[in-house]
Amino acid sequence: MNLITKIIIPSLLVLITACENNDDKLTPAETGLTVIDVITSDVDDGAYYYNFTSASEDSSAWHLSAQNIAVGNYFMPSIILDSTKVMVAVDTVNAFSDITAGPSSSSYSTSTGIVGYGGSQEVLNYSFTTHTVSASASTYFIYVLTTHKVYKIFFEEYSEGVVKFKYAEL
Amino acid sequence: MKYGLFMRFVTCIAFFSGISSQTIIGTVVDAATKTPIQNVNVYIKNQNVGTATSSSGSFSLDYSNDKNIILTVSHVGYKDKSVVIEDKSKPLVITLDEMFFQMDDIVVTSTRTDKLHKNVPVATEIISRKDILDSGALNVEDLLNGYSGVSLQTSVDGGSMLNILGMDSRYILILVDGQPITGKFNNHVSLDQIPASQVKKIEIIKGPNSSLYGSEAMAGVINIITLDTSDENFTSISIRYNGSENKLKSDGLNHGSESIQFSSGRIVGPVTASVSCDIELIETDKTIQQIDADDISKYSGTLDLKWKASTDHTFGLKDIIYSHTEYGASSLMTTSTRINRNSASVNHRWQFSENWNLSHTLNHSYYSRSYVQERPWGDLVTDDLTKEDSFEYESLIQKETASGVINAGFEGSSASYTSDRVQNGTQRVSTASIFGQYDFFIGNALNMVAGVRLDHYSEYEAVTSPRIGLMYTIAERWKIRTTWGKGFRSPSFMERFIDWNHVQFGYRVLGNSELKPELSNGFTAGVEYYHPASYQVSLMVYGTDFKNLIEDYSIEAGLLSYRNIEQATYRGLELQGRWIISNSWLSSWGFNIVDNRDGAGKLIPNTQPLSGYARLAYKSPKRFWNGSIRMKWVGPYTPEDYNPDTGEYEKAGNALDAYTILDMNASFQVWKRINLGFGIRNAGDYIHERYGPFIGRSMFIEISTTI
Repeated sequence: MNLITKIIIPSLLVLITACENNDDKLTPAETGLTVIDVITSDVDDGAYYYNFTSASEDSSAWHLSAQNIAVGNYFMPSIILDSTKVMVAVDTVNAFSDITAGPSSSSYSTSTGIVGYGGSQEVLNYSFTTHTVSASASTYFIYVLTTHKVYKIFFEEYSEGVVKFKYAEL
Repeated sequence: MKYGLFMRFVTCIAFFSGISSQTIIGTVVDAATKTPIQNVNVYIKNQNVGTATSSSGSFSLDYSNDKNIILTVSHVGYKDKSVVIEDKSKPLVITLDEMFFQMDDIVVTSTRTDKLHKNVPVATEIISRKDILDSGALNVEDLLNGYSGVSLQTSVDGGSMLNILGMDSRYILILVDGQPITGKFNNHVSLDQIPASQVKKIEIIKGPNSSLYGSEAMAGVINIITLDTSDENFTSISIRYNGSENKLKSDGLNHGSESIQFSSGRIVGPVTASVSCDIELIETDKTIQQIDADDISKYSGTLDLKWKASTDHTFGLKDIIYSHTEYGASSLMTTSTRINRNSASVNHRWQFSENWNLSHTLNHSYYSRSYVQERPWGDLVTDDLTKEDSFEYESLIQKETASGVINAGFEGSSASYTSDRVQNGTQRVSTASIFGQYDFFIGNALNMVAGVRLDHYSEYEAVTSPRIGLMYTIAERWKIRTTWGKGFRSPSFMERFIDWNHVQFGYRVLGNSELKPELSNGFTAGVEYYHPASYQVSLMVYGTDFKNLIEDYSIEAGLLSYRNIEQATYRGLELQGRWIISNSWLSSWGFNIVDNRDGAGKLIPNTQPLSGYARLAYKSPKRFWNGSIRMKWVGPYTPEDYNPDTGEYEKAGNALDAYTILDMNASFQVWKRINLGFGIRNAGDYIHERYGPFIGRSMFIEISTTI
């Protein structure tokens, strides 16, 4: 596993990025990216698991999960990534629709906890000032280690236990 | 008005005494607009005769033949004038100059007796009708937020709540026309539901005042006094368009809000009647996170009837209704909120002897709030209905003595609370209270007011609340005021009976029926310099100790309840001033220092320790236009965020810089009685998305007329 994460995957990412750098910049329409919308089940009823490869809910082989985690006396909504299967990167500048390529390989992190509750790039933020949960305006990139595919993801909304996000394979 | 009646009486005496008399006739008009002025007192001092002008401004005054007739003309709101009458055969036309700004006002809340502001022994702040009109504020929340020591916080249900002198608004009793406002949600009332146009003035009493008002008056009382039947007939209409605030506009939203206000008052013999209604339609954007709605509609109306049946008996009826709907839609949820409020009261005042009067009021208040959340695909998430229904009877007897005024009263109330969120669905509480107060002078310089109140609740032991206030007049214009008192807050229905699952975060909240009342013990001390024509400056320090404060706590993971444990100490200093620079210019300002700490000596989170405001208002001598600039400054402070992991508030990074909110308003007379107004709110466009203020720059235009 260490060999894979330390040498092979970064090499593949460099290769992918290098290939993409040679491409002309395409508009989203020209890229023909297929954007998939996902609405989770109510995480108050149990965790929700999603597999990007099969593009379906899958609790046995999942990449992304939305679930409530115990924080003190509360249960806070959080996005969890399976760190054994994916790496993550974040673009805080560009809009989801403008992104046609993933970031450089060095941008990816195996510390997928950064997207969860309290993480430096947390997707769902609870404000105790306004008492609301908001979704991050950033675009997230998921690199699936087994398929070497990169997905861009945008979390549109959180409402009473349900998360809506969209993603496209790059 | 009383003076006018007296003058009529004097005139009658003169008439029937058979003195040989002649008659002066005339009209009193406004010097700038030439419109007639009603209820002007016209008086010949050296003959002790007088009268008051009619609705057309005219008067007729009998006098005994004399070479030197000096007519004294006076009216509240105008400068007094003395006129030497040389040619008594011609009708007179007397012009009066309006006093644009007045230094004094009548205060009723501090002692439950009408007193001039300068003579009230208890620290009191007044926001007058002119202040309200100059502010350009649409509602009471908006209005109060412009003053120092007041800040807005977001409540857990997404609405906003006022924080006054660093104190949560649940510790400040809010009255509308002397009656406690109903319809608190999560223990807070939304003052944005009261249109500023319907408010005559606001009286703010500092310090514990439960000796007069009972529960919730732990740190102060705010009495919102609505417009009543005025002394003259009037009809006014105004239409306002509020542009969308800057932040929303940048998101592509080009709609703001529209409001229409109508009010009218008529005097028909012994009956005076007034009606007013306000409609406000707001189009906002749910994406601004502290607002959980896209479209908000507010409808409110007031009916006020007074009947002076005889010189001894006066009857009143007042009905205030409010209806509010909110709709919000997103890709995951549609929400709808409906709020209805109705407060009806009948009042009878009986002056049964020269020095005694009895006033009693029966009030019925009803409040309902329906909140429905539904997924776009049809799943119902929430369907809550909350109803509050209360009856209150209040009887107040008052006796004027040679040295002061005695007040004594009784209050009884019964309230029911029905909600899907409370145990057993419905809960009921009844109270009975007696109180007494003596407001008297010791010598010429010392005014003392002492009172005590006993409140008995159906659910727990009685609470006794005393108060003593002293005002010492050092010199003609210097006064020292100090008060000491106790206050309490009865635990709310929700704190005692709630049984609710918080869907968003998966925890349950259970009420605690064993809760005891929260208690406060506080003082105010201040000095005031008062120049009747020019300026007034006051400095006040205050301190309030709280105990038995109710806080939520965790019984176990995912199960919260309430308990009495917290203590806190609130200290502060308040400096206020008002300066009539000229007949056209007025300035007022205030500065507050707040030091609020919990039982462990830690600062109360998110208190703004320093704040100030300044207002400069101008009216052109001919009244063609007027304008005002209002500035609120909030000093630097370090915000704190609640950490659910530790259960503590923790400092959230660096201190926030000081900021200033600037509001500007102007109104022009475009044609006769038609005015065109403009305003800019938060002109500097200062917003902070996490800690507020949340609303950026917005502009409004308003057209209004008063007939």
